[in-house]
Amino acid sequence: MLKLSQLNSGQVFKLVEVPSGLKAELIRLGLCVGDQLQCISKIPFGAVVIQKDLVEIAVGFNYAREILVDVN
Amino acid sequence: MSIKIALVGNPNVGKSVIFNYLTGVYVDVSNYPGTTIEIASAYLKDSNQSIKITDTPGVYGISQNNDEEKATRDYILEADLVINVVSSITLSRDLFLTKQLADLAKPMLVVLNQADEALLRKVAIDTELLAQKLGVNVLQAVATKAVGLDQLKDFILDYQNSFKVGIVSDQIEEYVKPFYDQCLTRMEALMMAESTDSQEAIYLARRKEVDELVKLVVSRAGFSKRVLLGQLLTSPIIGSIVAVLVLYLFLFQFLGVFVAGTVVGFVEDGFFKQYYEPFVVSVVERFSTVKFDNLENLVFNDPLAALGTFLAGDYGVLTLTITYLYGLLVPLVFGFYLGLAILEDSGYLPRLAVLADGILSRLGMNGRAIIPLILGGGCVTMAVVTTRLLTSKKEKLITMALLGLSIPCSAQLGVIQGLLTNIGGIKPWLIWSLSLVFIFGIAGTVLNKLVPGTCGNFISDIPPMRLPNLRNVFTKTYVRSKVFIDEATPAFFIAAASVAGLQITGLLKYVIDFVKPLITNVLLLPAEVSVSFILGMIRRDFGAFGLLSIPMSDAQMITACIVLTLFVPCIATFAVMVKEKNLKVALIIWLASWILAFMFGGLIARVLVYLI
Repeated sequence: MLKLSQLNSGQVFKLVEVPSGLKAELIRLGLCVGDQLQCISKIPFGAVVIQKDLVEIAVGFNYAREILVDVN
Repeated sequence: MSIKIALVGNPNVGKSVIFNYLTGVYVDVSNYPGTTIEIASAYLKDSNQSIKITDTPGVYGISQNNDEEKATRDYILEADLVINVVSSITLSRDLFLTKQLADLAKPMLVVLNQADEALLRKVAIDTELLAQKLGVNVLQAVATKAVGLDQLKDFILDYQNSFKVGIVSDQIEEYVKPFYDQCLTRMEALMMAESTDSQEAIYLARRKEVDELVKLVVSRAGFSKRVLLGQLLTSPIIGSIVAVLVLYLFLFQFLGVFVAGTVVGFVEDGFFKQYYEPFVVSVVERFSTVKFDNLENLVFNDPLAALGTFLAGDYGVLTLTITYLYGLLVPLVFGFYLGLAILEDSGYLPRLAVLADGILSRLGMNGRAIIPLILGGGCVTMAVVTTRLLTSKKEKLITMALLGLSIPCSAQLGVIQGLLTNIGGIKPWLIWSLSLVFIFGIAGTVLNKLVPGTCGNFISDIPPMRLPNLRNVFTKTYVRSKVFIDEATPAFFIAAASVAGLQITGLLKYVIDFVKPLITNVLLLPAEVSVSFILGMIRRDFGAFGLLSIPMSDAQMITACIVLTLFVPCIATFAVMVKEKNLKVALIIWLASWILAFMFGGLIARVLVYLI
């Protein structure tokens, strides 16, 4: 298991754990625990951009360290 | 009977453009999440029915507790009908709100906007199937080209037949039922259910439905170049290079060289200084005398000359104010907002936020703070108001402080860019901008350590890159410039009048004498610069203008530019800071910028002697 902030751009991953305060916000944007997603960009020591369908979502540095993912 | 309609949708889906078409009222439209702060309401135009439409802030849902969502929720609860605007390219995101609205069981209508962009991205949507599955009418539109909007108007006029209550899922009904007994309406019951522990379950159920619906109605045929371009702009290396290039072109080449140099030179020197001012002076001299470089008391010695000098002297309310307002401020402010509007509407700003998040996180803010920081380059006062968008107290305070300390507003920025370009070469510009970056970084790092609390987290969807709509760009530029100029005009007259007043009473001499030691000993600048600083306290940009006429060495000019940029926020900004925070915070920021500006200025003045 990795932190979202540890991914590289292009990697496909599965969302495993999200801090409880963030869950609802992510579900509304289209991201649920268990979803297969792609990291399309990663700024070193910065934000991560993930994609689902045509929606691109930026997750800031502070959040990205709190989200756990699984890379197959 | 009056009918109330709420226009609801995710950020950046075209609500404001549709609102403008239906009512004829303009609201600030941007390709950035969260730009509609003030809520606009107006009546449907060219209609004999009284139909009131409200443009609500863009939200992803209406249950969470931030100000925008609360406001939107309240407007929906109050409205008779709901028009839900969704983007054709981000259906999986947008339909979440649509389903939530349907669950409220209020008569609604869905506008499937940005149909042209879906086409560009090779996305096809089965509108009929979507309408059938949602149980409401779905209308395709391209709002920016007014396609489908006449039909929307017809639908609104025929609201009894065209607005329908959507299909509510059984699963969600289960969670809502227990609340029926306690509450009056279905809407209140749903809102109650969504504020309890069942929120996550309701959201997951809704999300599942949406994802299945999207699978049914959306089909895609390959990728488009535009998506790839958008993604390149957030990639670390290419993205950073583009960001530096964009800021260089915008700030240095466009605002500094072109607007502050060429355009202002043409308007200010070519017209105002050559024809307008001599004309005013000649008119005033018919009945009085105008004294230049005056430092004595005229009010008692020569009242008529006092009046003439007040009207048309160095700081004359008819000469200096008008020249600066229309010769300098109008082109500069227009130039800044034009550039900003293009950056905004192309969808570039959110990408800048992504790139900046890492750095800003270390300074106690996050990517979102890039909006006020960049808006500060237009008008710091306005930017302080937009710090409301930030979620945590700490972020807000730090952003406000940095705006007050290190961000120049457009007029000041323009004049300073002009002065720096005058000296020649890119070196002065680099020294000035690196100084600001340095102060910004140091102040941010220190504040991050000092201010308690968390810095708030950044999570945002990124709107697609698109070609800005020219009409929209110009309307926005015009409206914003006008607001700025209208706000600045009285302050300019007051500033000029107070300094002209000081001049004709001979008090200016004492003020200069008082500030002089600081200016000459600490900053190694000519004593006349004192006046610029006095002016700068009233309006920052006004202070920078004064520098134009004082002979200085290159090193002195750069020092003066840096100190004036770092120097105190203007009176309007101060007032807004008091309103958004409190008097104590505003005073601390104000005093800190005095100390910081003079300390750093003294340092740089001594370093520059060797550098230049």
